[in-house]
Amino acid sequence: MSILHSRAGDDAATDEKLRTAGLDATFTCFVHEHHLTVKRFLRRLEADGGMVEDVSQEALMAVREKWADVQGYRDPRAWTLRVARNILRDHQRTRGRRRVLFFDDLSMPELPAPTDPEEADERLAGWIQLLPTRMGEVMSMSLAGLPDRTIALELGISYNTVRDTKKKAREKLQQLAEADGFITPAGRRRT
Amino acid sequence: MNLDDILELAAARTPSSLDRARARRAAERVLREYAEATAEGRNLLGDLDVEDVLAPDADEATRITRVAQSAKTGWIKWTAATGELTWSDEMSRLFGYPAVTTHVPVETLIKGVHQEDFTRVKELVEQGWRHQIPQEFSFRVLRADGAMRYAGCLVELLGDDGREPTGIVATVRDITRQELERQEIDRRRRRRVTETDLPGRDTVSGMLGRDRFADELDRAARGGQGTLLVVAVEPDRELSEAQSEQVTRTVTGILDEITDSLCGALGSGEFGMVLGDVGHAREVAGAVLGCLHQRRTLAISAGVRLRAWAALVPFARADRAGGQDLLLDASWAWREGRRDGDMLKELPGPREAGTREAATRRMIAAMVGDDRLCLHAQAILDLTLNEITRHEVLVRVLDEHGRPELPAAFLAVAERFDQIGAVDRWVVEQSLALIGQGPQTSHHQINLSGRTLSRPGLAEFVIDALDRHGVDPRTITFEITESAAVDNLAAAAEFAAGVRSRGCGLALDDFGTGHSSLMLLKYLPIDLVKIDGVFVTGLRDSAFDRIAVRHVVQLCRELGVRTAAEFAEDAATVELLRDMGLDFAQGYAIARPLPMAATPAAAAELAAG
Repeated sequence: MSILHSRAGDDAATDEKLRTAGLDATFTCFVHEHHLTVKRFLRRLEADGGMVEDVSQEALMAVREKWADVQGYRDPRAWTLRVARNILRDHQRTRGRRRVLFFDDLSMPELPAPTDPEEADERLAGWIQLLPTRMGEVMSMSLAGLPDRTIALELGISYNTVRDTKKKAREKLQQLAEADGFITPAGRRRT
Repeated sequence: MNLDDILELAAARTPSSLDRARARRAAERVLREYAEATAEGRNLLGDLDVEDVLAPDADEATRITRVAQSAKTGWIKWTAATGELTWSDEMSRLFGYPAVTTHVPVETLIKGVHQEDFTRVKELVEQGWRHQIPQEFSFRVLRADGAMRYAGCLVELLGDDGREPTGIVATVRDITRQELERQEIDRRRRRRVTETDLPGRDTVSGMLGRDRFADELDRAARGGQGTLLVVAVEPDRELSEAQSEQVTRTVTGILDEITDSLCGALGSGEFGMVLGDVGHAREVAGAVLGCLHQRRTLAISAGVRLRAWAALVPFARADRAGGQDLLLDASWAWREGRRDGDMLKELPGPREAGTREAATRRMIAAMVGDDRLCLHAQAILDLTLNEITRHEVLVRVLDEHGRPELPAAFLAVAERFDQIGAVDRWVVEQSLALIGQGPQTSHHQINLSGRTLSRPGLAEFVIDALDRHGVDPRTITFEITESAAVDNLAAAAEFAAGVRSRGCGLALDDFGTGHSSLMLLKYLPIDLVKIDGVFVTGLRDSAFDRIAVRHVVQLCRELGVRTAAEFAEDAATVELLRDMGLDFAQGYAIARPLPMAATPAAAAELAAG
């Protein structure tokens, strides 16, 4: 009896271990694939690199916690970005003040044109950080490759709103880029 | 390169080997910490919303309100078919109601939107509905308890898959803290633009002016001990303005070379320094005098010779002598030295207060009695008519050689030792006499100290003088200078009523810098306010000055008072003043003060020499 019982217990424990190992493995694959996406997404919403680091770690912890369910969701990546955005909002709220930049406060030296994708990404993130919160979130999700309908679902806004916000965000980015001297299409020298 | 190029380049980013290593480390770290957290039984999700929103069963409204709920945002929903309004607990709380009902009457909503924002909010919502676009805006919430909150609001149209909209859902956040923060940042930014450094640098020498130097000296005297050195430089003839400036620059250069101590250009050829112990001060004084002597013949155009005297006044906190007292003592001392042929006069310490006062009073009385004062007149431009219609009568002090000097220091001392009344009476008598002899075609403005106003019999004296000299009272305005407080408002009001009943005008001088100017404007029948030059000289560059002048003009216009600006030093400033709606401008851009005489011919003669 006791043997039987212990075997049954062993089996349950073994099953649990196997299950955990399986989840860890699929989760690890997920992180390998999407870690950069999460970081880039957060980077576009927050200038403070330390906070981006903390939030991405916290978000991935939450993903792991729910991984058994999340892996079955239609778009685990979209879900992860939403969780990351919620955590970021909490962090920003605790800090109290969003970094406020005034264009006329900054005496910006002329920005050099980015030469590789990473630099271009950073420049873009700098501009998106200056957008109003919702615009930034919509733009950042869109750049992470989420379709408009998914963005509407994740941000809890209507599809109509996503399309309109994207259009306006695009106009603002254009202004910011031009203000920094990025006017002439590539192939010609910047003036 | 433009935005499209950057978007394209950024999109081409793929994980580098470094990125891949980071991802591996991140995964390991998450798994490690997750294992620890589970072992400790910690809750990793907190109040995070972790449902999969992609669940296809929910309609748009349900999804939006549920996400709002989890983001701790309020929402309110309007259904077109039924006209029904429902709101969330969070929204109910934002409007100051207990979270008990989900259905809300439209009146409650209307009452909750600040009256001044209501029309705008209504228009935005209607516009959004008509054009089928989302609207984002902020408005003020007037809570049931009367408190006010700022709310940020996103109004969205409901309607699955682009069909006819079926309703509206608005998600609303309390943004009071952010809004106040924004307002504060905005306010600070405005303040940064209007903040202005303390004035008080002499424009020629770059040193502190007399008042600022006296303040600093005062601070030194209260703080401990030291020695005041005053050097007085006298040219051997009358100098042009350019020559005087050259002399000032020469002396400034010498002082700069010799000492790093606090220096001031005190006016009328006097320079002050605050030094340490007497021994050191003596050395500095010797060096300065030596230098000035070596340069007896200064390299200025006409080969002007300078003579220099100096006085040393050691001070200590126990002497209880203020900055102005020490300057008076030093001034008195070097004059004593000059009389005795003593180039450097050293006092053992500040004079007794009583001695100082008696001596100063005697000096002022002697100057008034011996007619060592004279009158100048400066033209004032009527900005509407664009012609000179008025003159201000200005007093000048004659130096030992009969040369007129600026009277600022003299007047300050006279005011301080309560001798200004005698000076004012002299000015009134002499100017009315000159005006009476002339054609009386211009309006004249005569200064009276705030102190003099409350002296008994002043109105009678003035009216008597007007009659004696046959001056039309309607061509005279008395300017009340506010360098000293009006010490008896009732007496001042009586004077004002007296001279105004005869037709004289009343002006408030130095407006904005004197004592309780707004109160005088309230209680005295003032016809004209003269805005102090401090706010006019920097008008073109200073945001503060422009705002201050614009609003003083507006204030005065509403009060039925005319406005004038002093120290209009260039044509652009005069134009600016005209645009700002001032009635009069006075200053070097219009005319310099000229010796006053009964007739233009006599004035020309006086000016010539």
